[in-house]
Amino acid sequence: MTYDPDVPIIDRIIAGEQSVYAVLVNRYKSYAYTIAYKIVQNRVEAEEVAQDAFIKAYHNLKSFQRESKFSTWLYRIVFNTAISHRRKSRPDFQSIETTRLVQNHEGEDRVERSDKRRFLEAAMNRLNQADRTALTMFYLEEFSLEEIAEVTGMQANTVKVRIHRARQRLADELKTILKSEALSL
Amino acid sequence: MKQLMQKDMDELARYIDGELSEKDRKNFEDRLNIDKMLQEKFASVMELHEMLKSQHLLSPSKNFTEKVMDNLDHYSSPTASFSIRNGLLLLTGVLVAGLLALYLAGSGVFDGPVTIMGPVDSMLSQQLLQRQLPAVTFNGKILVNAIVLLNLVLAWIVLDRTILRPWFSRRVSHG
Repeated sequence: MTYDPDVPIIDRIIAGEQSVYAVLVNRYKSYAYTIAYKIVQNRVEAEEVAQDAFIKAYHNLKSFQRESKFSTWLYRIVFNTAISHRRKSRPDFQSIETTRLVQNHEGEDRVERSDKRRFLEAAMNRLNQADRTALTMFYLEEFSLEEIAEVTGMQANTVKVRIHRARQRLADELKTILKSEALSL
Repeated sequence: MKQLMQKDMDELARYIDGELSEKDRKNFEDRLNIDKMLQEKFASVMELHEMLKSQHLLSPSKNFTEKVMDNLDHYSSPTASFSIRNGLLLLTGVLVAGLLALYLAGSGVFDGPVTIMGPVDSMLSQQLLQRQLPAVTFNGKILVNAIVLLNLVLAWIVLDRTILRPWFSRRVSHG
């Protein structure tokens, strides 16, 4: 088991120092928010989800087994909270046609056509939530494959394959989007 | 037109992530030099790879931490957030099942002894079963009464968790 620098802080919180929890919130809020955003795809909702996850984690801190890092445990809560939030708020399925319409509409109204980042986001929306989260976490370079597996609930040995294949699908999607953009110019 | 196999795609991914052995890397690069389709695929995945690498962490609002800290004491557990509508539906179901069982027991359906597995007579059963199963006879009325009792206990728990407790806690918090 690796040493988790959060453990002394967690002990203080459990002992009754509630205000110390702000240290953990500050430390992990950006990652929690990014993971939530990748799933719910909306900034306001992602913020709500990340906040809920931190509050849930605080109230379940005593049940944290310390076998994994606190951050991994927290991100798992964020992931599950975001998934159930998304299930409640809207259906998971989004047709390619719908995604294209949204993307084109936004492209015409607000975004420069050359903004590939925007297209990347549109292409990423077509991946499923687990693949999208796994790919994001992989490229944030902060997470090992084992941690990604723990957060997304996948088997560690399948995470890598899924990341590879999600990336290929994403490359194809991106190519299609860029091609259609080029044609519409 | 030649299509790339999944095996090629997996190898391409491992090449990009630097996971191939020296020998496999060399072989792959040799193929990459001559295979136009692989070159095209490599370029598109590599472009995406660079884009993904340049992704940044998103930042939540400035008062994110304050909001979390302010709401730490306003947490409702999933059991407490069970909706009253669902609770009422569940309670109705439990009560209907209990009353139905009571009605059946009261009308004498279960008065005689019930045998759930008697001596096996049919040809089909004789063929399928090597050994005869023992007959189990029991008093159906006792069983139904036990089920009714369990239903009442369950109904009480549901009533308590979904209606009474939230109602009382709301009264306490508002009063």
